[in-house]
Amino acid sequence: MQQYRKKILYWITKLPSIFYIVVFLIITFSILSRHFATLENLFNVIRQSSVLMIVSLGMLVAIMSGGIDLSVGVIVGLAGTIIAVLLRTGLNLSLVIAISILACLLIGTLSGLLISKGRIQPAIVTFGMFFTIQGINQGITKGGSITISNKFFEHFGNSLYLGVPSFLWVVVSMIIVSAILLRRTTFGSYVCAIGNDIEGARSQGISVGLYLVLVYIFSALMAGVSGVILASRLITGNALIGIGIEFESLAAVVVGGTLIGGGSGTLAGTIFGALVISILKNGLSLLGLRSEVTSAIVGITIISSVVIAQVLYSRRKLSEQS
Amino acid sequence: MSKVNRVSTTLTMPRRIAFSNIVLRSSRLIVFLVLFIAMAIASPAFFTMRNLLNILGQSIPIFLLVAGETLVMATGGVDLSLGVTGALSASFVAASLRHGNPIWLSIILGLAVGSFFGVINGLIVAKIRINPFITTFGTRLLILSLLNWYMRSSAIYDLPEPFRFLGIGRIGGIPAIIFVGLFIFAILYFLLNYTTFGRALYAIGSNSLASRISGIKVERILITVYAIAGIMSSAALMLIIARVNAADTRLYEGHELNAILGALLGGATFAGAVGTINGAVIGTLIFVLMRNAINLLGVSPLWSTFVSGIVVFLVVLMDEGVRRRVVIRRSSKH
Repeated sequence: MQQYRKKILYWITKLPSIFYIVVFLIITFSILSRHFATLENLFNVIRQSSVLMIVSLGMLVAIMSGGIDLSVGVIVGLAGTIIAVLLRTGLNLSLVIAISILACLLIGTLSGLLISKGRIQPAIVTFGMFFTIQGINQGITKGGSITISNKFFEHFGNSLYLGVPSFLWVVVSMIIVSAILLRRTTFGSYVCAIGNDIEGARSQGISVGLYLVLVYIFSALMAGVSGVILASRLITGNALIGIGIEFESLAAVVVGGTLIGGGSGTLAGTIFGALVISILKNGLSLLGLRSEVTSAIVGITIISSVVIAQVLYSRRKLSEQS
Repeated sequence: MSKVNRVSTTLTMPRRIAFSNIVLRSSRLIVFLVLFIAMAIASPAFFTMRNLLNILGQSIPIFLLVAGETLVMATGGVDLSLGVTGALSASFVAASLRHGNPIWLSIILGLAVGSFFGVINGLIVAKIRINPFITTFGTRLLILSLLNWYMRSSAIYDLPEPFRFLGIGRIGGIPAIIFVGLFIFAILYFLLNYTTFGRALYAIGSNSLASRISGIKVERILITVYAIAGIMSSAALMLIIARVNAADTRLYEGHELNAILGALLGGATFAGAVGTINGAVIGTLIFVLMRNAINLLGVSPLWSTFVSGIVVFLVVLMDEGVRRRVVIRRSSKH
């Protein structure tokens, strides 16, 4: 018994500090609003946070490699628009999903190649992609939205599987995939090595170009997957869907304890970081605030927390070094 | 023998670099002239005094944005929040004008709003040293939500006539907005070419650490630069609302990309230390002509963001290629 207690205590001390913020937010919102701590709202939070969580996994890997991917938000939107447009032509649903994911992979490959072969800063490349893909989105949707009418797809977005929203299973499987990729394969350690010192990694014989391309393919894949599930929740394709997720996911990663600059990263922290942002958004909207007010509050919170986190962590890093 | 060789190489190499520099520097001018002549041939209505003045008038707000972005990019930074900063302060001005405040007060308030957000950007970039891309991408999101909050998804129409004069009025047949543009051009030209501030700007862009060591107040100058960019963007968007006679929440759209594209076309790079006000003028003109040419080709305006994105990639790749070539040439010399 004593042993177990010690073990549990050990695990609690190992938890990322962001975990306590999640607990704090849950308690606060439960007190402030009686609609917060209900099963229905829990499922809502899961549905809302799943998109952000999956995107954040890709963003985490990009940041670990010393880069950043500002194009994830518009890729989320693009996946949805492609699905909406192709379903109108009467194609099979699974084929449509496959095509939209493939398109996302293609964009990831392109970004990765421009970063590794073109030697352009990741922020510049993915920022260019941000506008290019948004332009494609606008062109396809003609500035409006396209409704998706597919029974199975609609059903997937709102259904429960084994008692929990079906999104949760997608999220869990993506987390497991990323955890295996980062912990059990050389990919994770190579990405960290590249993020720490790109020239050093190259001189150690790591094929930096290949791994950088893989990093951006991975983050585009995550964005594509969450784009598909977001489309199934909203049942529309729209040029503006997904914009803003890039910064929310960046915030999730940074608030979770990963420093911008690369070389290290925490998966658990990122997941809790995404939860913090989703719970904040959900809780504030339950308090009856207007959506513009909510988004302004969330924006201010995100930016100040990114700034504070960056200051704190860089200080800690400096003190560790000295 | 080897000595002779070395002498000959040291004599020829700088000249070759100088020549390539001249070609590089004037390449934008050549692009502009080619576009201009092509437009003049393609459309008979283009080469009339009236149309040219109109185009010049249209390009003044874009020039202000491009000039602000050029200054920021010269320090090695970037400002993605220009469009929304300008839109927020322009909406503020519109609301203040509708409220009945005098025009000069409204304009000063608007410029103050622009410089406020510029200073915030500058503080985060200079003091906390977060990558300017990430900083301004974040503040862009923040200011956008503030804009939506402030405007409550509605629009403000019917601005007072004396304010609109800045955008659409004519002085002796020449659009008044062109005088505004000339005035701001003169200020910025003086600032960049005849003050220590201008020199410090390029020094920070080429080597921030060395500038700090040699006594340049890097942080103060960076904050000033972002503040100037914020003021420029609010002035630009004020001119735009004076022209279209309305301010709404979608006012910002595309301006951040246009500013960066114009600055890139004018010779600024993301690496910093280059980019001039003359370049900003050329970049703006190329951008405006390009947009007109795209319209003339019959491309839907819905695809214009896509085209701009592609052009950004092309210019960046071209700059990178040229830079690498120059670096290789220099390193092979030593």
